[in-house]
Amino acid sequence: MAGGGGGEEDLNLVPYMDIMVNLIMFMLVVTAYIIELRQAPVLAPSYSSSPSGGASEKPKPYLTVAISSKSFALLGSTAEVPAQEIPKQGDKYPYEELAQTLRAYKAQYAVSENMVLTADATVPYSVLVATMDATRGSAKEPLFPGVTLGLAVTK
Amino acid sequence: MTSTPAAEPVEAVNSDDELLFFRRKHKQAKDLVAGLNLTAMMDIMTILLVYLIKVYAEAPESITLNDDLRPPSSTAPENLVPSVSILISKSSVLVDSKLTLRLKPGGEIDAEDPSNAYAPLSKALAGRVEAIKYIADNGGSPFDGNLMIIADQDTPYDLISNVLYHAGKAQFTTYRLVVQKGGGSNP
Repeated sequence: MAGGGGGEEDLNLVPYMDIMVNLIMFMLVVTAYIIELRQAPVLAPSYSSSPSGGASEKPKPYLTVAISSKSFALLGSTAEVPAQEIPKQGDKYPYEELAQTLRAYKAQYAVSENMVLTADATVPYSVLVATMDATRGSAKEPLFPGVTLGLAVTK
Repeated sequence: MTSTPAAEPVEAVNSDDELLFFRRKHKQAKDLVAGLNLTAMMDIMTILLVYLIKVYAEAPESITLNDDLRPPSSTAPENLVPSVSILISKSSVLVDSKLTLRLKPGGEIDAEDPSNAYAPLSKALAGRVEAIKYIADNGGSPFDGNLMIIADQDTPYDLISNVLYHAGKAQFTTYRLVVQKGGGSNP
């Protein structure tokens, strides 16, 4: 609104534009650092004999996946479901092999969709989450979407 | 002789006015073509700014990533539901942003009495439950037992397991592990 004289003059938008550009730059930088978060639900431990907590029906056998520093160990809750060990491949945990083995177990034995996941005391959290990803399966082919965390195994 | 020079300036002023008017008219017309139209640009800027503010406001939990706290990546599909949170970094454990436990390197609790190391955590969680129930009794939303665990990717399982155990004792029944959206880490 410079002037104020006789003639009509346009609003000077340049300072306003400067503020807007600075604000947008700031917001763009800030939003770039906002990480997108998701959540992986975990069932609370129950005191029933099975993590599925079946009421009157005979509960289905369930699987326990134990993570050690050397391997994955699959354990069944009954003798019908055999145990199996999947050793680490070098420094890497074999998540794909674990998923395939779990798929085979699910197809072969009538196991519950809820499973127990436990680990050695020193196993890092990232390994636990990656194992949960492997045991969850995909949206098209879910494996064991319900996971109950067990207490850490200490030596 | 004196009237002629006086008449000439009046005629000159008139012609200057005309010239000025003519120049202004042409300048305005020229400006219309050559000048940048800032109004449209302002519209774009305003829309961008509103969008960015909305994105920023919708971020449910603001977590500052640093070497102390970096949650693992996961393919978990569920969106975050805000609730009571336990944040486990490399150096401390916080309940709803309040410092509860200090950790030594490696995840061991830095406490004077190791047999009672988790007592401050139990107390903090019980206090949160009590506060939520008090709010619920006075017209607030009921206590749903949900708990968010935001932990660093290198946190040992022993610490996670013990924290969940004490959360269970404080009547939390549903645990949600907060992870970064991603293709899943392969540690």
